[in-house]
Amino acid sequence: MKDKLDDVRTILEDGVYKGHKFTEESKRKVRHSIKKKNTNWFPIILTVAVASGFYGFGAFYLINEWDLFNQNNSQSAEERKEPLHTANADLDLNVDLNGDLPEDIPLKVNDELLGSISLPLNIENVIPSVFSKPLISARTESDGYNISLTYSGDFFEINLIENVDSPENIENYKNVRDKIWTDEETLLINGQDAFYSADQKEMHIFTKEKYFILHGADKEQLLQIANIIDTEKPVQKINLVKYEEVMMENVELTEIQQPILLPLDFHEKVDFLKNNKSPFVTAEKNDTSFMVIFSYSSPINTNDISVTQHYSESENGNQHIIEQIQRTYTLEKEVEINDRKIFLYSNGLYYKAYFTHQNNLLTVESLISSIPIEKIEDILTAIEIE
Amino acid sequence: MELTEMKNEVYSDSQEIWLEEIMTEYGDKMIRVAYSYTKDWGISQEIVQEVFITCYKNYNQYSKVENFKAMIYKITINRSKDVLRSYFVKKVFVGIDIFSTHESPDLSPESLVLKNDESALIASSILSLPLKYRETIHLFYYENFSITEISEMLKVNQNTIKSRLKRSREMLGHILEGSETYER
Repeated sequence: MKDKLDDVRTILEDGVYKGHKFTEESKRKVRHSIKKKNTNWFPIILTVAVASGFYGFGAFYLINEWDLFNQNNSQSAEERKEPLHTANADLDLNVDLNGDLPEDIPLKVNDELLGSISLPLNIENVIPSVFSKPLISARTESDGYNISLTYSGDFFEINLIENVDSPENIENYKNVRDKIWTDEETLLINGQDAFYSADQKEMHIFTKEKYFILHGADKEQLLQIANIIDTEKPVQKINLVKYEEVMMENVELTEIQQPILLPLDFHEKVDFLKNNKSPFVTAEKNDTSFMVIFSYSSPINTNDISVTQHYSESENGNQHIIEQIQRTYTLEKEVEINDRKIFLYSNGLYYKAYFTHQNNLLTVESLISSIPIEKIEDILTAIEIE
Repeated sequence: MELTEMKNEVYSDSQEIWLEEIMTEYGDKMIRVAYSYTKDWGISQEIVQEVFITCYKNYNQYSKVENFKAMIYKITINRSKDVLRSYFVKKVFVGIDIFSTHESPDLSPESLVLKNDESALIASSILSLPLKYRETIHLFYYENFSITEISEMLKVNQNTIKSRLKRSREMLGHILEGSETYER
């Protein structure tokens, strides 16, 4: 069967994929779409010309009338300064909600972003079979942004998406829609319009400034989740930060100049790993950091146990990794052994444990079914940091 | 006349030439990536059109990216997942009811067993895997990406990718009853 999987490319290309290409018709549609955007010069010029004339005349008029204007009721001038959208005075909804970032840019999931969302960051109470914390990602849209939460169970995933946009756009999305699901059901959730499809296992909820998509569970479960969404929470203008991906290239272990704290015979120092003959090693680096992963086989079920050294020249260079663990895993145990403080986390399926030493972050990761928690402590304790 | 010269005559700026180049180089590949998620060729065409429009709109940024290949795969994968998550959003944003005009062929393992076509059975078995296993198999065996590359692309830990590959092989083994365990 190995051969058959190695032949997947041939099998798919000679079978299901045969004759299917990105068509000339599709290319034409792409060209048409971009041309449409580019050939709007005449209305733009016309608009600019008319607007210039209008504002020019307006400026002339205002200069002449300025004294008279100042002598009149100053209250009316104050009133003119009021924002158009009074529903939420903190937010200027004429400003792009995506902070002028380009479309489809990954965003850093920080406290400010998390603080702004209406979706629940814990659904254990309504669906106990999910792992405790969701994976969270966010991306810019053309005029706003979306935040996506993925809750995992053993054999399922529940996706919750919060789309933030201007009230005009949200209203427009709702109004222009047709029924697209044959089994669509209209609901009212917390006083908000909602739609549900049993076939798609998907629910959509619209508020004035946000719309939510819930996917991946049956109706009762989605309703339970929907009921704990804070639909009253107002949209706040937040400072969206682009997520900067740390790019590293694969290298040989010998190409890493800084001290590697994991020797190749490390498995011989840990009873639990002694069944391994050698680790499976991968190394990556860039100008300021490197990562070395030693993967071992579990004596319980042969699944991977990974021991990783993350090094960064910058003092807080590994902080984002720690923050990500803290955000998506639950702290199980905190142990102080000799010269190190070990933190053991789990998410119901995986263990993730770490300690820091100078500019290094040492981590162990494994499926819970592959290793007892005390053996993780043994592994982290066996790393020599002198 | 050289193709490039013809393009230069037709298109007035480098942004459009770049678009033509990436459509030629990646169009067919991206269609197959999108299909591996949606299992619908019509929807895949729509997704890839959107991907190229997004690339064009972000030309200044994307054209300078060192590993553009990985990036366009990421964009296509994200777009495909968005569509899978929400037919509705697709309709609202694109304004086309793409799902009303395309039907997927019957690729169920059962129907292909009847045809006694082993390769087709393997293909359909892969496409019938749950999404997270299907995408891993496709990226690893079809696209020949490394575990590290897939991990970066999907923002999933390398060990998780390895576990998914292992689980996928097991599941395929179950589907293709009677076959031995896959190893790579």
